[in-house]
Amino acid sequence: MSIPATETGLRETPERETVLAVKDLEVGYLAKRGIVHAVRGVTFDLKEGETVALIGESGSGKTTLGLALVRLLPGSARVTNGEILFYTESGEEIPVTKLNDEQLRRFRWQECAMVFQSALNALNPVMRIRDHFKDTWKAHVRANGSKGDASERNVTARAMEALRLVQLDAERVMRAFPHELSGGMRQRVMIALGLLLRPRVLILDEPTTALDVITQRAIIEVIRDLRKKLSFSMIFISHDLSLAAELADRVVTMYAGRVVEIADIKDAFYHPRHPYTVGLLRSVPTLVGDRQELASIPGSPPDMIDLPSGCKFHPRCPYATDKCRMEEPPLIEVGPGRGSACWHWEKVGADWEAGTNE
Amino acid sequence: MSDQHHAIEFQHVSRTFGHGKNRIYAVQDVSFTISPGRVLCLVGESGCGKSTTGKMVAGLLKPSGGRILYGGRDVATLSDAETKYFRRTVQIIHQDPYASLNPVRSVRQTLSAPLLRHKMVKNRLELNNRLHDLLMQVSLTPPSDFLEKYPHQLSGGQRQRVAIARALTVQPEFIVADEAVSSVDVSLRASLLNILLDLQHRLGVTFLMITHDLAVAKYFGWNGQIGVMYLGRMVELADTVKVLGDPVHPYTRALISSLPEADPDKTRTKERLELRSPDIPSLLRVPPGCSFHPRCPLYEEGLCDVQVPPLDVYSSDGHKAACWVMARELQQPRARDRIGEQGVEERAI
Amino acid sequence: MAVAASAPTRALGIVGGVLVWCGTTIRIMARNKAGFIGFIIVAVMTIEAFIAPIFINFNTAADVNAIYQGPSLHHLLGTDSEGRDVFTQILVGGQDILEVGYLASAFGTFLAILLGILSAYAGGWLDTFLTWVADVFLTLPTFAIYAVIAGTVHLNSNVALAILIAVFSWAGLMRAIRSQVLSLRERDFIEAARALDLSLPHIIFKELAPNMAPYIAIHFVIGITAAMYAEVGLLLLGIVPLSGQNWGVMLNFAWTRGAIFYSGSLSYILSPMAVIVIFQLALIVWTRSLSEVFDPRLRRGA
Repeated sequence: MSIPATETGLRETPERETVLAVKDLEVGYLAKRGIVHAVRGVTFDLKEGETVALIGESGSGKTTLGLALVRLLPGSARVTNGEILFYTESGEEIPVTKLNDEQLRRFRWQECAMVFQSALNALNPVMRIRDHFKDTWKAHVRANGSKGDASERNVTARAMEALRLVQLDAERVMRAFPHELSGGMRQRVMIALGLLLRPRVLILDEPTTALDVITQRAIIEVIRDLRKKLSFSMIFISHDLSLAAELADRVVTMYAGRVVEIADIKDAFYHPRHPYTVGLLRSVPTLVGDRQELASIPGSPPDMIDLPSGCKFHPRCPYATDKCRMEEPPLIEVGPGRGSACWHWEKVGADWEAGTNE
Repeated sequence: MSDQHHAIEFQHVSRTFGHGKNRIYAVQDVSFTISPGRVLCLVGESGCGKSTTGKMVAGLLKPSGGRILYGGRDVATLSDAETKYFRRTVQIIHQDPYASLNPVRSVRQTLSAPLLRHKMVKNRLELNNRLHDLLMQVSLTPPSDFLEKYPHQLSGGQRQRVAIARALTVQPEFIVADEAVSSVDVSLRASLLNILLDLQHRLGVTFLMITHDLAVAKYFGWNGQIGVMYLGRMVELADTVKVLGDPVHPYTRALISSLPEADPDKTRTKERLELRSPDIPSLLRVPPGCSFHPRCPLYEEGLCDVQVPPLDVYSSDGHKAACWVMARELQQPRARDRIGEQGVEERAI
Repeated sequence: MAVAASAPTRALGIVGGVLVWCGTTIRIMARNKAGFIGFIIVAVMTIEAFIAPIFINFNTAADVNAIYQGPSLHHLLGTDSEGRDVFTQILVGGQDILEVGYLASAFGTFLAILLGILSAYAGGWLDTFLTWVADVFLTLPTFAIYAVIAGTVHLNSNVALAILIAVFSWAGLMRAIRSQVLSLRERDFIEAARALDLSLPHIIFKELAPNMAPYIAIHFVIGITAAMYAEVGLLLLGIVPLSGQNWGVMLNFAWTRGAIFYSGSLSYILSPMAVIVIFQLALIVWTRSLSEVFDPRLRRGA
């Protein structure tokens, strides 16, 4: 069985327009013990209508990267290098890292919206859902803005439309307080809020974490449905490989603040070229088929303040050699449109292919 | 403990919380047995009563109704000394590695306390050897690197290993693992599962594995049983292979078909069982009859919303399920195909 | 541990252990500069206050020729209404004040811990009753009651005064400890301790208490300041018997004997106030480094 072309259009039309380009981005936090190198030289881009999954474990820098994209980093964090370029529909280039407050306000939500991890904490408990929509609108649309006037009726109509898009009973939900909604419904409200101003890019941070299996499924289906109806690009951040398997066109795997592998969905899961990706795939239990022995990645994620030398994965890697301990590999092009930051990617690939064909 | 008894047996156990209008039945009329050295995995969504069941198994909560038998004896009738012994032989491993270790106590302090309290070591040398041994068992090596650490200096996976080592100090016969791997990073999850499996194989520890993730249940309880709980009741109970390969209850089918998998081709083309509503009702307002009926694609008015279906034996291999529709279909074969047909039913939200 | 050892060896071991603990504690406190300076000031002033009366025999005989003198080489901080040296009074006058401060805070904190844990663990009617009593004590106008009681009961010992202050200052901390215990005992690590059949004293003193220690320690130190203010206030108003020499009595005399009308007596009036303020300030600053001592999570580079 293959994936329907509508979901992985990437292969059919590789020449799509870029909407977001991240170049050599570095973000550091100032902590008591020293500098946390959360994001270290990340480069990737997002095409129009594409869904990219940022996969990584705790401390991989994926959430910091997501926050940096909409300039919502906490006060102790600094972008120390690199740039984030956003391209509007008219082809205008917006340097996100250089925007002033006013420009930033317009950029967020109108061009690029973010849905945060905890839907319960992100909604104000004493405000009705209706008022959340009004506030979002007021905060991000100026009276002379490009997206129409802020009249009450207009906002309500747009909000209702957004809520219906996420398959909620719009009339009822608009009147409700957050606590009157279930976890899944709140998460959908958050997505609707994100879509209110029809951004070109929607960033979702762990959209289904902490939700029950069936609720999680409902959210996945809502997102899939939205992607069919609206033409926005999406980045979602998750530790969950199966979510990427469900929704992504392309997978960006992060480890210790770096991109270690970029590949389209099929290559990422069926032909990985980085030992970390291989390790992740080998450590996830599956429901279909017979029980397979799981192999875990030895060791622990690195200390982001005191990183190991060379390739940051070498202390946990079965392929590690002296070269790995000395020199950090760049993202090597290992195929059309895909990269792996591993000196031994060829051997990793050969071993994987041999292992899966056994 | 003699072998002809079950390690633990639940007979129509219930547990309520609160009073009057706010009373909820967290667990209602649940019965199951686990044989010594075997595994039972309890699965279900939040609020289904699986954790409450686990706490009752571990003796941390008393049932409000029914009987719990431990090695063939009613826990309620045990003497104080026996209760203490029972307490110690059943250990619990919690979900959140950040909450399950005392933040102000070092690994050494955490692990020494039960060893000293129960006089399981004679002197300092023996204590040190035992501590090293425990940390080796959970692959925290070299042990000397970890003994003097405080929880905040360890990663989530390492903390969870310390929690396992702490449970092992008293040489338990039975371990309740309450979502023990769910909040640990993916790359470390498998090793934790393998450590626990090793305990089961090597030391013959009996396990109650509580998880929301059927894939974990499958991996851990492949040779054991799975019990599916919904709103406080057990709705399906059978061997793992049967539950996953040939599920009877529509809720079990929904869980299986909803779980996303780390395989794009399979997960995107998986057959889905659509429910009539994705949201779980509140425990304060449990629907009458079969509590699953407002979400169930097989729902039949007058049949499902009147009486609670009993957990009946469904086939000769002891596969139990609680569903009126499926029970009826059993008498008239051609039974299970209907679920597939119902799968496309429109979803109400 | 059942390690066979002779009594002297064991005693040595305990002394060694205490010394090591003190060393570690001081090292941790030294990491926070301001807090450590506070600690040093508190330590020096405390030691001085308790040692000075042993060595300095304060001359209580009046010297009419030297009334209300300004600071001079002979009298560093001038003299009082009876011509006695103010500096010497400052040196010896701390003992009573500090003793009552430490004792009152210790009694109050002990009472609060005891009743807080009891209340949380007992539950039921005892819990309801104890919280009710605490609420009543919280709403009482404390200082007025001190005045009334001190006026009726003859309070001529420091311990009695400390107990009086303690009886009216435990309620706030007790309620805080009660709610902390209630929340802590629901934590997974306490549940694990119960499953391991660790004893109740172990759970309370080894698992629960260390989690509350920073809070209790800070409250204890702040309790000292409150008790000192209460005592000095009572002395200033002359409600408790004015016996001996201390900073509170000095303030009372300065006030009742009209020192403010003499230009040379400024240093006399300000000196007791200044030492009290310096000591209080040092205590408050010291609390900053206390959380790090008791909470390993806050220790830098540990």
